[in-house]
Formats: sequence, structure tokens, C-alpha cells
Amino acid sequence: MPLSARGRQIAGDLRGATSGVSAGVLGCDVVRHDELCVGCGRCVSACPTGAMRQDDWFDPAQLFSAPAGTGRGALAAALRRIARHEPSGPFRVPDRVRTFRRILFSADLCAGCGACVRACPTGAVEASPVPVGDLEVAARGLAPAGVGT
Amino acid sequence: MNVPVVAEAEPTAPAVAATEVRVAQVRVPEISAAGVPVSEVIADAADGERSIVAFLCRECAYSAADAAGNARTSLPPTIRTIMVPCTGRVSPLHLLAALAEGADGVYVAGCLEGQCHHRVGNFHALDRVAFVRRLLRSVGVEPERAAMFTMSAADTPRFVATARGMDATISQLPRLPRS
Amino acid sequence: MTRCGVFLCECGGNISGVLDLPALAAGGRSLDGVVNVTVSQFLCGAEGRRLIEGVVADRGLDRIVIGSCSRRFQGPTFERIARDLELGENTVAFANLREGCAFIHRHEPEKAQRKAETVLAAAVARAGRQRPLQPSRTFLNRSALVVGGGIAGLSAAEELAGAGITVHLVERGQSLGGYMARLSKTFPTEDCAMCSLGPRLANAATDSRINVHTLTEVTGLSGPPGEFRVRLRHSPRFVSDQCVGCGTCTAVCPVELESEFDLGVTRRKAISRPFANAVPSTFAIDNRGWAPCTSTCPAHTAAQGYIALAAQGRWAEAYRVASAPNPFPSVCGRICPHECEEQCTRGRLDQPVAIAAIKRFVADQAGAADPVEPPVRRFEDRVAVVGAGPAGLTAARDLALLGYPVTVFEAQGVAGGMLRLGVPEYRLPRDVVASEVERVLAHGVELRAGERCGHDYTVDSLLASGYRAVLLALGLPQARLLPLEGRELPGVIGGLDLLRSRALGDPIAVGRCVVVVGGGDVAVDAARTALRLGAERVTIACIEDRATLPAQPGELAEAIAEGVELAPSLMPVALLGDGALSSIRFQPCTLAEPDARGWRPPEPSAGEPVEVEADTVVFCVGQALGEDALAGAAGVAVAGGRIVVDRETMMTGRRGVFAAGDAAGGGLIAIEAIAAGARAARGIHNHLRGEALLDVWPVERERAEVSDLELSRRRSRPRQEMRVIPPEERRTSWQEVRLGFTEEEALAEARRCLSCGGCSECRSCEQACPAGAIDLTQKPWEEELTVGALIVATGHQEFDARRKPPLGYGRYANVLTQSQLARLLSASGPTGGELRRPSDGQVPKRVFMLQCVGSRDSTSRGNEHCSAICCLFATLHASLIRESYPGTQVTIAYTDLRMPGKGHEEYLKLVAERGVRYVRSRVGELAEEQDKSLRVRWEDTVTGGKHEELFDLVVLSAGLEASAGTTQIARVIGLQQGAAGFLKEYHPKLRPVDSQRAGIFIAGTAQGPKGIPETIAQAKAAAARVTSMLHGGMAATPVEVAFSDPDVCIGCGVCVSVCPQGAVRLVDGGRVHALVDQASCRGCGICAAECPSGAMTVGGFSDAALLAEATV
Repeated sequence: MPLSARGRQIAGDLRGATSGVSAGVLGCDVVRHDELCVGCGRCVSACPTGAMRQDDWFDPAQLFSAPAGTGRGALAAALRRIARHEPSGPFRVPDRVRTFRRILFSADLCAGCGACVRACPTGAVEASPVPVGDLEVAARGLAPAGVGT
Repeated sequence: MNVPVVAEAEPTAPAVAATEVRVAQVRVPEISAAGVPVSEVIADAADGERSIVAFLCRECAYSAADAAGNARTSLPPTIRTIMVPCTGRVSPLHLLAALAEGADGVYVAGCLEGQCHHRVGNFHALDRVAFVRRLLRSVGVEPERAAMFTMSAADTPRFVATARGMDATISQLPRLPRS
Repeated sequence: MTRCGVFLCECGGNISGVLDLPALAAGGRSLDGVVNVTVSQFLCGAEGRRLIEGVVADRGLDRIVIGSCSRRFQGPTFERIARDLELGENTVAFANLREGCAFIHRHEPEKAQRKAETVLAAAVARAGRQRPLQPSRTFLNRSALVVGGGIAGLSAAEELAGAGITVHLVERGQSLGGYMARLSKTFPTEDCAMCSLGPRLANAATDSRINVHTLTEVTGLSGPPGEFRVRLRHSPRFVSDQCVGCGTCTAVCPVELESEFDLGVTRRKAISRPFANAVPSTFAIDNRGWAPCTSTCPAHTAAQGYIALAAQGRWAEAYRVASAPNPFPSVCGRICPHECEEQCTRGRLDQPVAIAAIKRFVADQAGAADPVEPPVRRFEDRVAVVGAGPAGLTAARDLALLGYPVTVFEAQGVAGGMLRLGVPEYRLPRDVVASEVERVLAHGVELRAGERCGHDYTVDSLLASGYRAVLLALGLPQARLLPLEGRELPGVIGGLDLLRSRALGDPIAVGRCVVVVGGGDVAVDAARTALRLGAERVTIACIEDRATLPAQPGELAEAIAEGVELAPSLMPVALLGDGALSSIRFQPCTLAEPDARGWRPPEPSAGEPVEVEADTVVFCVGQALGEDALAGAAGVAVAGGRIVVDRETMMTGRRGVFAAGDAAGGGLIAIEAIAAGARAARGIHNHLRGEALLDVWPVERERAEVSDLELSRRRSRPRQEMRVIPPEERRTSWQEVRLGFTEEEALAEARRCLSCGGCSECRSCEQACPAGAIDLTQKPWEEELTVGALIVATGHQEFDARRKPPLGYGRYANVLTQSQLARLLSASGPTGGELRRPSDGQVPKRVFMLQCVGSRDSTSRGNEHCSAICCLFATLHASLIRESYPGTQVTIAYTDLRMPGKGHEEYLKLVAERGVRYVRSRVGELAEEQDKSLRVRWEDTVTGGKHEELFDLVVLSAGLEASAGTTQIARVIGLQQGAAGFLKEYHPKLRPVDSQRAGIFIAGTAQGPKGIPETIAQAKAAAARVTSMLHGGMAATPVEVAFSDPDVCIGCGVCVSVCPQGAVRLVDGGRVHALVDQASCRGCGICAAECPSGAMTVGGFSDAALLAEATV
């Protein structure tokens, strides 16, 4: 996979970006599956460019998309039983609650190195070899997470 | 005495630059009782026995509860206690699952601030309860159905007061409807 | 499906009186997984146990549900039954039917019954989700580390050793004993402190299970409890265990330092033992590193050493120290630029010590009489030294001392090199050089003067004639002339040539107007020599400006005082004259930026050229190797005008041929050449003996620094100025300009030394020690031990009363602290137990004791806590004073009298009856009178009356705070400190000697202020905790600790970040996953609640079990 111009520039500027990054992966696009995310933050630690960030807000809607059988899925199932309406928007998370925090992705900072993909333990971040929105992605039925939550 | 120590920090709007995320419109629901008029809430207060699950830390709150029992203090039968090694053990799932499976209220009681036998367990619990309250609010459930209290092992009166207070709070609310 | 048996307890009616247990039992039988329900009258008794055993056996139960009192009461009883029946850990669930139901709902039996049904169902559901766990026990190392050698540490160590546990007792000081060793008597029995401490000390010294590590600090801790790995750093004692404790060394040690043991009331020697029955009894040298003077000196002369000896008038010994690295102390005392003085700590206070002048006096005084000792060994290998300058002669002497026959070849007719030929005699008289050269030769060194390398012999011929090694110390004898127009004119000479001719008595004449070109020391020497040769006008012209001129400022100032003129920032461009020199032309210049070698070439600046009248121009612009000498040294490489040598061995490219001094280094000052010569001697010795026997380059010690605080306590004393011949007299005389110190001046100046390094390395003790125990080569070393547990007993320190300026402590001589008074009252103390006030040694008639200094003090300068022992400490001392000096009045000014404890109140009554006056008061300021008595003003807080009285001695009851060692160890091993730095216990009542970290226990005043009995009790409690831990295994069972399932764990590390014990870490076993250290984990479950994957759980409180219980 050729290095994108943007990827080349960032890989050149950042010391961390060049280590452990194979040129073959650089330039890929990042596809996020928020429903699989457990908020562990490994992608954030792995990202050399700061494109992945975790802030102190959480969107309960993200819970409801989590698959059954996971921790978040169980939490969502319980919440759904007593919910009186669809969840309203994000709220601020108290300091010591570590994992119920949204991961933000800034595409313009992404070097496409794929470090987040390798770091993600749940497969919530995937590398796409073609730009987001391409037929191949659509065919797999995975809506690209794009930016934002 | 029976005021939960969890402070409600109300979200206003996420402080995230618009270029990075699409900001969903934040709607803070008016949650008197999710569309049920207040008069009905009070009328419904006699619709049956409430149920409250209390998670008590082994070091302080459970000791206080045992002392209350030994003193033959009358306590609301709505409350059922569960021992945990430390309030830090209680996760949001424990609280929400209890609510989903029949409890009308849940609370966590542990050591006084700064006196947790595991140093910071009660601080974790405080934050998790606050988180659960915000979750409840976001789906239209009264946040006061979840609460956190702290007390010393010797403070039986505080345990009694918090238990009665919680019972009174939950009695004011309708039974928690479940789908 | 599990097979669960339910056992309901009537509790003698306590439960059955409220609940309908048969009905509850009936309902219980229909619960999922329940195979049997039984009701018993008293389940917790022997009968209950038999019942459970029977049902478990009959029905094949694998889970037990107990419906009885709170789990907190009888839980362990039933868990033990399950364990005994081998059901495994975590197989019992509890329904709290008594405190949780019957007791609290007595008035609502129906509701109570319904609740009991739910509680029982929850317990049954929980039991079904409880996973049986295997009991596990970690490996425990049956040894313990006790940090702190005071009474707490000693007591704990003794107790542990008695229990068969190997103890490592670590103490940062040089002896065990701690604070208690300083005390005279102890309250309330007034028995002597040493009488009870002494046996403990002796026991620690002799018990084979107690390994004593003094002068040792803990620098690191890793590993889990049961298998702690402790890193220790041992500081050198510099005295081996051959020491017999005779104390001869302290008698000869010239360095006096403040005695820490006596809390500054007296002074001790740099080699000392704090008290007679110290353990170990070995003396120790307080070596804080090299004093700045020693660090700075190129030869690392122990300047502090000869100064300390000089301060006592021990000139001969001082000479031994000064001449050890340097055969030319008398020379160096005169001409050394003494960078050491620039670095002297005293310079930060007033002026630096006149180190060089002291050295000169010492050498002049004692040099001649110093005996020349024959070498201990003799070797056959002959060594040739080429060049009798300072480098060559130093090497020759050192080689002779090592036992080699040495021959020195010198091209000139006299030995001494630049010392003899380059330094004018008004600075360095010839006889001074001659006598020190003589001393070198007296070591058996053969001098062959007038023989020139390249003419009379070569390196090849030397080696061929049997010399096993050759040292080339050729110097740089050739003066450089600048390649200027007109340099062939008569009257243009080299500075070295001028000086050498004068020194050899060769005929030489200078003109009327002399211009010296150059800015170094040689230029100044040449200028002053020209003056003395009769020149009327002498000008030094140099390319540097005044500020960057390289010549020694003192020399230059003397030259200017004699009439030499200075013309800075000028570069010569031409020498003018018709047949004879008439003038020299200069261009004003500045210096360019330094080039790669650091040389700053001149750059012409704006301005008209200057012409200076001159009939003689002396070039002092550098020196070069003699070409003919080099011709005789075949196979020796030269680069940049210097002989190339290997830095590690001082050997040239040719085997067996060495080089040193100016020839190898270039532009050295005398002491640098001497240091180089000494290195060459070591290199040659190592070469000839075939291995590295001696360090060629010195192994340096760290530079000792005196803190500003310490410095501020020293009084200013001006430097002795040396007398000189007046300029008008000396400018025509070859007499030595500087006259040297008188004995009084030398003594006074030497006493100004601050003894920065502690031990001065004068080596007097080494010579005096009859056992040969002194070993200054000892180095710090580190060690790692594995121990099962730690006890921290690092003690307290006295509140620094200087933090209360109105009380005058540290300023007024007669203001002491109680601990200092304890030293004065101690029979083994500095006054032999006699109470004498510091200012005049008189027995005080009126003593005032002030309580709560720095304690019960909410200002920022004090501590809030009560120090607990001060009321008794003061009462004890008051009693002792009244007993020994019935004529002395003692007044104790207290805030409140607080002395609970056995026998304490009775003791107070007794002492008050002995006539000690107690006044409840608030004290204002203390003022010192003319006779050093102290005027104290106080307000009586009972009557409100104001008082003012004079006292001979004031004693401050300064409170207790955590010692510096406590803070240090807390940082190293991660213990929490509370107010005033005392260590935090795990639980103030229930676990008072446990620290926040598993396996680490605390005892004594490190935990808080307390007296000796409480300290010992705590120490023994801590020892008991260690013993039970190491004997019985860790208390934590798998039910009580967290566990992460590696197959589920996603390795996100959230658990690591939240664990308050630091018990979780990530490991990479193919896949990164969390691993809980079972021994450190305390089972709080914060990690499990935070875990996003569900991998982390706490044995007895899994999510499955808790959810089952919560959702019934």
C-alpha cells in the first residue's frame, strides 16, 4: 500500500510514527465500530499522532449498540429494561470512571499507520485498505464510524 | 443526614470542538416521572411494597448495619443488604442489574471519605454511582433511585438514618416499570 | 447443577421468634439446586457442625447455604467446616436472617418473613454461582529486614531471631542504639538507659541469626511480600574489622567535627566511635568525599590533610601529607597558581584559606628534617628518565619509592627543569629548588646532568644498555618567535632564553626599553627579570584584553607595582630598526571566537597602528619540543607539537617508552607536570610488573560540599595576608619577593579550614593504628537481599528549635534542648555527667525548662501533635538535677501537664515534692544578658500574672517528628506519611503495626511519638505480625484476592492504573494480560469493577455471585 502524502509527512515529522510502523500499512484508513468499543483506551496510547483521543464524555447510545454477551451489552440490557425513552445525548463522566468514555477520532491527524488497529483488543478499530465509503466496506455491512460518535 | 453524598453535576454541552465530532443535541429530560403527572406519582405510592438493594462494604457500613441489628433497631423491610469487600467492588452493572431485576432503588454504603480501608475504594464507588445516576437520567429514570452514603463502622445512627431516608425517597417514587 | 444444602438456625429463638422457619424451609426446598433444608437450634455449636457434616456426607452436597446471624460473626466457623469437609474455598453462602431480618423487623413479622424468603433465595442463587477455589499459599522467605537500629529495631530483631527467623538489621548510622543510647536515665524509674539498652546491643552483636548492617541504607524494594527483594547500599567504614577498638586513631586524628551523637554539645574526631559499647565496636571514618581543594588539585593533594595537621603545629606530619603526591611542596607553595583556593568553601563565607602559603610554610619548616625511607621492596628493572624537570623528577622519586633503580638524564648542567631555569629566583629561590631536587636524589636516584638525548644517547641506546623502561619528560625547551618582519634584528630574543640565561648565570644584557610580547606567566617573569637586569622601561604587550589575560593576577599586580607597564589588545605586526632594533609596531586587535582547539586568534580592529620604542623585544608566545631530543627518540609519534601517549598507560606508541610533562601534555603548570610524572611512574610500574597494579588515573571521590545552612553557622575570620618586600625595594633585587608566613600566621590560617571533607585523608590514623585496620580504599557497594517481610523502625528526630527564632536556640550559648541536656547529664557524656552550662562551664543555679517547643503548635513553624513524652522527659531531668545539685532551682513552664501511663502521675508527684517548680504559662521572648544568662518573660495562664526572671540555663523540650531516615525509607519503599512525617498505619486500632503495604510493618517513633515501653511493645507486636505471616502463610485466601482470567483479559491495563496496592501488572505471555500479585492484593475489587472485559474478579465476590444475589 503506498504511503499517502499526508501519512508521509506525519511519519516524517513524528519520531514515534516511524517506529514499529511498516510502510505497507501506512496510508490505510481507519474504520471504527463503536459498538465493539469497551473504552479501554489502548488505541489512544498506541496512536502516535494524537488522532485517537479519549475525553471525559460518554454517550449512552453507544451502550445500546453493544453486542449481547459483553460487559457493555449486559449493562445495556439492564438499562433497556427500565429505560423510559431513548437515551439523550452525551454526559460528562466522573473522574474515576475510566472506561465509559468515548473515543474521538480526528481523521485529519491520522497518519494511517494502523497502530490503533493492532492495539484494539476487541476489533473495534479496523484498517480499511480503501477509502471510507467504498463499496467494499458497505458490502461487509459495516458502517464506517467516520468521525464523531 | 440522609442526603446522598453524590453530587449531581449536570451536563450542559459537551466541550468538544465541532470539527472533531458531530455534536448530538443534548436533551436533559424533565424527569418528574417520565411523563406521569406528579399527582399520579403520589397516588401510585401505595401500589405495593418497594424493594431496595444495598451494597455495604464489609469494613464500615456492614458493621454499622450489624450493630443496628444487634440494637434491635427497626429498619424498613424494603431494604436488602449485600456484603461487598469494599465499595470499590461495586460496578455500574451491579446497580443497574438490581434495578432491572426488581429493585426500585439501590444504594452503596461505605467508609467515610479518606478512611476507606482500601484507601480509595469509596471514591471509586462515589464516581460510579454518579455515573449510574447520569445514565438513569439519560433514559428518563429518576437518578435518586441510586445513591451512595459513607459512614464509620461505629455510626449506627447514620446507617439507620440513611436506610430510612432511602426508603422514604423510594417510597415517593412509583414502582420502577420494566419492559 | 450444584447440590446445595440449606441450614437454618433458630439462634435459640432469636430468629425463630420472628420468622416461621419451617415455612421458610419449605419454600427453600423448591429453590433451584437445593437438595436439602435443615433447621437447627444452634447451628454454630458442635451439634450444628455434626449436623452439617452428616448432611453433606449423606446427600453429597457441594454447596452450603447458612441462614443465621451476620456473616461477620459466624462466617469463618462455617467456612472452616466447608474447608474441613474438603468442599474447597468459596462454597458457603450466607443469608443474614438475624441482624439483617429478624432483629430489625420484629414488629412486622409478615414483611420479615417475605424478606427472609428473598434473602434466602438470593443466598441460594449466589451459592449456585460461587466457583470452588483451591487454597493456595505463596512461598515465603523465612527472613526479615528490620530498618533502623534503635531500641525498636533491636527489640523486633531480637524477637524475630528468637522465633527462628533470620534478621537483617539495617542502620544508616555507624552504630546500633538509636536515640536511646543518648539518654542518661529513663522515666519513671530513673534507671540508666544504657543498662537496659546495652544487653540488647550485645545480643544483636552476638546472635548468629541477626545480621547487622551499619552504615547501610535501603535504596530499593521490589517483589511481593514473602519474597521482597531489598537493595542495600553500604557506605564504606574505612576501618576493617581488624579494629581492636583501642582508640589510638582518634588521638592522632587532626580533624574535629560536630558530634551528632552528642547533638552538637561537643566535637568529635573524623575517626570516631559514638559511644563505648557501640555495636559494632569498630571505629569509623567520616569521609564525606574530597574537599574542594583536593578535588581541584591536579595531583589531588590532600590539602585539607596537611592543613589540619598544620593547624595543630604538627609540621613534620603535615609535610608527609603534602609531599606524598608531590616531591616539590616547597616549590608549589610558592609558584602554584592554586586553583584550589578559588574553589575553597571558605571563599563562600569570607576569603579562601591561603592553602599555598600554608604549604610553603609546612615545607620550609619540616622538609629538610623529613627522613628518606628506603623502599619496602627492590626490583632489578632499571628505568631511565629523560629530563629532570618536575614531571621527570616526580616519576623518578615515585619509581624509586616503588623499588626501581632510576637514572635521570638532564641536558642542562643542573636539575630542576623549568623550576630551575624558567622561574626567576625572586619568585622561587634556587636553594628551594635545589633542596627539593636533592631530596629526590636522596631516594637513590642517579642524576646524569649535561647529557643530551640525541647527542650523548638515544632511546635505542638506553634500551640496549639494559634500561627496561624509558620516560621522556623532555619539556618544551624551545622558545617560539613570531615570524615577523625584522625578527633577525639583534635585540629580539625568546623569553625562555632570557630566563634560562639569567638562571644559569650566562651573560645577558637587555636594553633600556624592553617590550615583552605575550600575556602569560612567562611574559610577566620575563618583564620582571628585564626590570631587575636594569631596563628602564618594561612594557608587556599582549593580544588579550586585561580581563582575559592568562597570567596569574597576583604576579601581574606585583609586576605592575614594580613599574611594568601593560599594553593589552595589541598584536605585533613588525619589528623596526636599521641594523639594530629601535621599535615595534602593533595593530590594535580583538580576539576572534575560539577555534576547534580553543585558541582565539587575534583579529585586527579599527585604529591606527601603534609604534612602541624598543631596543629589546622578548617573545613569550609559546614553547616547542626540542628537535634534537626528538631525534634521539625513534619510534615515538608526535602530533600537534606534543608526544602522543596512551591515556590509560602513559605509554608512547613504542613499547616500554613513556612520556609525561610538558612534552606530552603541553603548557602545564608545575603541579600538573608533577601529577603527570606520578601517573607515568604508575604506568611504568604496571608495565614492568605486567598488570595494572596501581591506578594510573586517580579514582576520585565525590566532591564534598558544605551546605549554605552549615556555612551560615560559622564565624567569619579574615585571611592572613603574606608580607612582601615593598615594590621600590624589590624591583632591583633578586631577593624573594614574598616573605612567607610566620608560625603564628600559619597556625592561624590553617585553623580557618572548614574541614569540608570530614576526614582529611592525612592518613595519620593509618600510621598510628596498631592493628592495621585503616583502609581508605574501601568503596561503597550494593547488595540485594531477599526477605519475607520488613519492619520499619526508623525513629524520630528532635524538632529543630531554630525554627522558633524568639527562643534563641542556636544563637544563645545557654539554650539547649532536652536531648542535649540528656547528654550533659549522662555519665558517659561529654562532661562525665556533670551539669555545666556551655558558656562558662559553671553549674547553673537556675534552670528553666520550656515545654511544647514545636509541639501542640498550629503555626506553620511547629507541629500540631502532642509529642507525648516531653512532660516526662522534662520531669525526669528536673529530678536528676535536683538530686545531684540540691542548690539548683528548676522551673518547668508547661502548657498542660500530660503524662498518662503507668506510674507516671505518681512520678510527677514525687518530683514536684523534690522541689521542682511547675508553672502553667505562656512564654514570650528570651533575651541574653551580658553574662550569657537568659531573661525569660512569661505570663502565668492560671493567675494571668506577668513574670520576668533570670536563668542560668534554658532547656527547650523540643518535640518529636519523623526522622529524615523515616522520610527517606517511606519514599523508597512507598509508605504513606501523615502529619509531621510519621508513618501511617493500616488501621489505627485494629492493625496498628501494619503499614499500608502488605508484608511491611512499622514500629516505634517512626509511627508516632511514644516512650520506650510503648516502642518496645510495638516492636514486639510487629515482630509477632512478621512471625505469624512467615510461619502461617499469607492471611489472604483465594476468596480474598483478585484474579484475572488471561483468556478473557484484553490487556488494557485499567486495573493496573486503579489498584491502590500496586498489585496488578501487565505481563506478556504471548498475549498481554493482567497478572495480580496474590500476596500484595488486599481484595478490594476496584480492579474488578473497573475491568471492561470481565476478566478480573475477586475470588469470593465474582460478578456472577454478586449479580445472582442482587437480582433475586
